Amino acid sequence: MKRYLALLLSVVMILSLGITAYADNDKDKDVLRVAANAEASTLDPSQTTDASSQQIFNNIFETLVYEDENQNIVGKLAESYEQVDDTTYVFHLRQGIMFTNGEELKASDVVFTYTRNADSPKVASYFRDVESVTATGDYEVEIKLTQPSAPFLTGLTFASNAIVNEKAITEAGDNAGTQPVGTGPYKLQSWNKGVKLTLERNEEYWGEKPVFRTVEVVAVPESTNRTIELESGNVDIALEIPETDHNRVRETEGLQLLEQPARATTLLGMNCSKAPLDDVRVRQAISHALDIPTIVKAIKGDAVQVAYSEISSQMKYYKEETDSHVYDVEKAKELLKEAGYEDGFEISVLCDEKKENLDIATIVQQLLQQVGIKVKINTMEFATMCSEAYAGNSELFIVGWGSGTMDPDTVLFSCFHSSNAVEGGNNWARFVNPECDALLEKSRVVFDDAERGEVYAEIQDLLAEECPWINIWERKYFVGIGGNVESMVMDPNSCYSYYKVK
Amino acid sequence: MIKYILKRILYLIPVMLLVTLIVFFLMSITKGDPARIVVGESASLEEVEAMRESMGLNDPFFVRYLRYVRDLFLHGDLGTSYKSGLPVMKEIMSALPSTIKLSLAAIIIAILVGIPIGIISATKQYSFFDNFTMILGLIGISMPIFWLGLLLILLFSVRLGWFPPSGLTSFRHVILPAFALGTQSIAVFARMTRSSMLEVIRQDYIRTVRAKGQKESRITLDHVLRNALVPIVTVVGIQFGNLLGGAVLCETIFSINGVGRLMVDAIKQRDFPVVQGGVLFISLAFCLINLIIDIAYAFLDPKIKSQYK
Amino acid sequence: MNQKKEKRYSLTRETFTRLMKNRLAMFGLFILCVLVITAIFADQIAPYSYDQMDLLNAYKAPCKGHIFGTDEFGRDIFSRVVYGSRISLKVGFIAVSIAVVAGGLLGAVAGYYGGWTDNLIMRAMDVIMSIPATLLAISIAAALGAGLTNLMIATGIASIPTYARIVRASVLGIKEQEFVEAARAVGTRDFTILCKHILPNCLAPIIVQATLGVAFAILTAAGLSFIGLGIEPPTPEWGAMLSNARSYIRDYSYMCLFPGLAIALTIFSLNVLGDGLRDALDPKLRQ
Repeated sequence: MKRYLALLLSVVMILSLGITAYADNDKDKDVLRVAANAEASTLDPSQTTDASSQQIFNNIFETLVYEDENQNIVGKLAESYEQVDDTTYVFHLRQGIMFTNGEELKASDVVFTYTRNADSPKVASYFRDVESVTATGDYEVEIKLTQPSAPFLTGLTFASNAIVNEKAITEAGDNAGTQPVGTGPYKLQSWNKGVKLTLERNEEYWGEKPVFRTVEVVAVPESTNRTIELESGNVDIALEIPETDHNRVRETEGLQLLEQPARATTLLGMNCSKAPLDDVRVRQAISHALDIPTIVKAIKGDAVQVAYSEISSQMKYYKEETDSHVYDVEKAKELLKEAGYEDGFEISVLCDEKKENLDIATIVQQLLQQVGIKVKINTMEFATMCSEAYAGNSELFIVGWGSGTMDPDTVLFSCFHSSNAVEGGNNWARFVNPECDALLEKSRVVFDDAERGEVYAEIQDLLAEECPWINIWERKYFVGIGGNVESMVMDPNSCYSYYKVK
Repeated sequence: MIKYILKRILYLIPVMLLVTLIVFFLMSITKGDPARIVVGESASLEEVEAMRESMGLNDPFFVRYLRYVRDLFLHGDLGTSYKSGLPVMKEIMSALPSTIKLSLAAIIIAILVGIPIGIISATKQYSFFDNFTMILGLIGISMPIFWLGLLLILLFSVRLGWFPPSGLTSFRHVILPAFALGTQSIAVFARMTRSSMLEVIRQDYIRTVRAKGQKESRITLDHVLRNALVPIVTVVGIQFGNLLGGAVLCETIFSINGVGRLMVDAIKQRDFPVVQGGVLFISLAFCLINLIIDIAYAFLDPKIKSQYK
Repeated sequence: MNQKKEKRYSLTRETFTRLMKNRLAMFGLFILCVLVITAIFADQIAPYSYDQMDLLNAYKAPCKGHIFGTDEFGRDIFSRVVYGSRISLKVGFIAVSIAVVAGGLLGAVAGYYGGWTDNLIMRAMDVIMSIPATLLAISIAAALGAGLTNLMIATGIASIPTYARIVRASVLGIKEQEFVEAARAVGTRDFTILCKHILPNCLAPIIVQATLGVAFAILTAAGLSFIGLGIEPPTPEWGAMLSNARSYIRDYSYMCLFPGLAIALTIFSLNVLGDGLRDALDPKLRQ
């Protein structure tokens, strides 16, 4: 008996040695299991900008250019690019890059993609200044703009503007959303909607191949459940870990909590076209009546920072407006009195169903009561809430606003320029201010970095004074990793790159 | 018999048509602009208006409804989801297996646990077991499924770590949600089995059989249970319908991507075609189950069979 | 006439005596009374207001000052549960009233007139019944939008068919009886006959169903709030409280204990009372 046992043991040892040796030689790992907070809606990049879809097709498709760690725009599918003059860009594609359907990446695919996206309501805004996209050779694309546009190039780094294959999209027709064909490190193996989405490694990938052979993504919308799945080892990565579970993940052996500041803030907006919010004194009064740091602490603990600007500190030209949050109930009452609302008024706040936003609304309701303002909370599902706000029907609104790129133009111009204060425009606050308009227009045609920074500083000062938004916190992504995952690199857009997971 | 079944199935068609009419109407008065959802949140007013026109949303209510019904009957087409752009049929079909798995598991658990409890309670009326299980049953009926679900997760997933709290990918996954969903049915079945058996036991012929010296267990199973089965089967049918409704909540708590969850999400996102399709599907399932139950009667009770003409 | 009244009176008394003997049902009645009193005197019973926040005292486990603890905003959970009884009872009773009145009238008309009226009404009820009630309530609530009133209407409409069926069945049983024939013969108007002679006689099954119906309405309303189709904050609806508490289930499980317990207890008391009433009113089971 003993002998058998010894024999068995040695066999086991040799086997395990063999296995570890094999693992050492080959860094490849088998399956990466991910618990996401929501399922992808489609895998056709041009058809959506929602993060849950982007985090999948970000691994399947690639953009022409991308933003490196130092916030420089560098080539990806394009080996290089040059700006010929203020309104002309030329991109040189890498040669020999294959789509997973066996087609080679050609300039015609880029032309096809961008022309298609310019017509797609979800991403058309990135191509609003584009006059023409032409293939000037098999591997060369020229883009002409109607006017100089500083934010144009960064728009191309947006995940939804990834390059698709003309033939694949045409052939797939209505099924383009479920039959993605890209150039990226992974390709879709199977998608059992509602159950699981599986990616497999693209063995022909032109760049560095990912460590994991397959990636399985399941949607677990209940945030507490995602943590439990991670703890019980059912998944290796759990996205969007709620604040209540941060310490638990940090303290559990074998698990790590990763954080990544996002290029987004959560804010309380005010519709400046509606009385009494059209009076800047009323807006300032509301700002003074809210103890923002305490609200942030109550809802988020120490997990996030208080926001001191309309743009996140992760974006270019950020300026911290330190004086924007002064909690002073007496001052608020005084301002209201000056504006003629001594006895307060009634107002509604629009927000989506996300718990943290609803929490803000609940506390705001309570705090504004102190200065005589009665708040009615109006909750709706996100998309419905958006259509209300786009239609200009909101009074107060709570929303997270951010940018897919690092350029502040995507936030500031679209949210505060008067041309967007129309139905369907991003200027939910209906903020119309000639001085602000002029500055925003200037920011688009100034290409010098320092000079542009000054213009944006001025804009942020002006907004802090005029107060169309009360900035609440800077958003952050929290991801829990465990199992056989050692590291994961995140980027501020929350477009998780599973191919970089080791 | 076959004629009866055919008649019932034919009757389902107008019923389902009216169900679609009700839901279509409800969705048409719901706030929210479908065109806005399709073109995206940041589209301009003109884009929204153009989309509204091309989706036919500017047509009068009945034109839209008739178009919907025509597509449904001629092409089996339930429309396209506003949100994902996929055919609603496809969306529902991918969610359906989870819901079927969940409700079947729940009903099986309920039958396997509930009916035996009812039988034992009936044969030992007023015993400790009887009193205990009947009070337990009342508690079971009173448990809101969304609370029970939370408590089960708290105990079995969080504290004990025995079962995973979400999804439906393996047998272990099914247990907690199926139990949460089935608890009410367990209680209903136990109570119904008990009371209908008690009613049969009081009847004269059972006394006769007993007088003839039959073994007690044979009496219970052969005579009492068989005759008590009709009301039990009815309750199973009704309960299955309630289960389909309860699945909506159960799927939400346990993060199961079934039809119920699909519909709740669709309702919140104003994805009307998916809601319409989902309600139609669940209602159809509900009616078919009731039909099956009615047919099952015939086999259980010859007296009823003779009525089917 | 006089004799009939007396008979009805004694029947009521008999029923009540039988109900008194059912200990479980009396327990249900007792709990229900406690709930009603709580709801009426919520202002006196609750130590805090339901929306009074104290961010520094958030997440307090049950203790002396807060016997049910405090929630994520430092609001007293006990006070919220107390005020919540108002909401739930209101939803339950009004929803059932809507259903009883509408369903009762439809059922009475259907049963009394028969023929195509009956056919039309009952087929319509069949259609509504072929949608599972929870699902129908969800769809109606979605169409009407969030809010207490809409919640009551939604749950109310969803249960109309049940009452229509019950009343129709009772009316069918009663309308051929002599005293109805007699009333008709003297030329009494249909509406009067329905209201004065027929409806009072089918009260028993309606009362039983309504008791259970209140339970269903409360449960459905809480379920709707739970999935976020119900009532806006800061209204202390039990379902909404549970839905909120769910995020804290691991660290502060007491937060989802008390609202859940309140719902379960309410439903339990209504169920046992309804059961007891049924037994007491059903002559078949009399013994």
